[in-house]
Amino acid sequence: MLLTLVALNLTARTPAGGPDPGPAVFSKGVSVEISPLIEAKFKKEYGPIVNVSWRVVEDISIATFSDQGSEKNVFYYNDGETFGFGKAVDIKALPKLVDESLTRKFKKATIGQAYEFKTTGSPTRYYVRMIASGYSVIASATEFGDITVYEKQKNK
Amino acid sequence: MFLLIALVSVSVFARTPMNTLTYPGFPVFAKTLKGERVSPVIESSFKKRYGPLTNVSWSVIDDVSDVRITIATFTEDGDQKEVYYYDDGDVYGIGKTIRRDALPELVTKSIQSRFASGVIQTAYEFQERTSSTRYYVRVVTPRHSMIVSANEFGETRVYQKEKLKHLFE
Repeated sequence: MLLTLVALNLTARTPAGGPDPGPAVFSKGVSVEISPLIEAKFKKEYGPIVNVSWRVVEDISIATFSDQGSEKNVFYYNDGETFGFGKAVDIKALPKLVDESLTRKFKKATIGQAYEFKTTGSPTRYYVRMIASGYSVIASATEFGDITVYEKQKNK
Repeated sequence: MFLLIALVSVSVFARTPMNTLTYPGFPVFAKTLKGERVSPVIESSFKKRYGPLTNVSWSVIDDVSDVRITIATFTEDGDQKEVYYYDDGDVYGIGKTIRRDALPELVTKSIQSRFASGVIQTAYEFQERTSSTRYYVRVVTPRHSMIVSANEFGETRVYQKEKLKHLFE
């Protein structure tokens, strides 16, 4: 399991120095009680969905629920404002340009897991966990060719 | 074709075009320039990103602020996609037509709550490098036809509102 190596710089409301949750998208987080403010915001937007679960990564509260058969996440700041929306996506559903740019950068690695994340101020970003024979890496990319590498770990 | 047009308001949105949509016979904000050649810089930028696709078609549009946007239209994995270029070869945005039921729930909800009697006819997803993904839809109410954009963060904008002409009016 991936360790939560979330170096979130939560100054100025922008995790990871920008609108980017980084490896937190793959993190299990910590189950804690959620602020009523955030819960109320969620219910206002999505109705009283019963099967919502919550986790917290750093100061970001993440709601997980099922919507039309697929699992979705909503990321909230402490004040109840929405930070972003995410969902796991099929590797085959990654935009071609994203797939190609990641495969080009990590030549011997294959994509093991993919996650789509939308936030304000930036285009849809795709987070992937890539696995090679000697290492695994968490990286993200957009359709504009921007790649960010968060973690590279040697396989034991 | 469901085409997204860049409308650049230089004073407010310097190099951050405000977007609108156009349809054949509906070009209020933008017009397709006939006989315009695609700049080699843009063509080469496209080829570098997407490879030498043979089925790419090009159009050039101009808007009220005289900013030219060149659009490459091509098919990727069975879906039609458009890449929007500035004259210097920089990508302004990437768009594609999507199914109405593929709109994010919050987008559909915010449009429906604003236009209670409206029906979403077509939907288009557009991404810019510096903005959140925005969805452009044509909404038709019993009296009006509108082009509306929305994102998942509750922002909606109306770009065009036209009164529908009814047969017995």
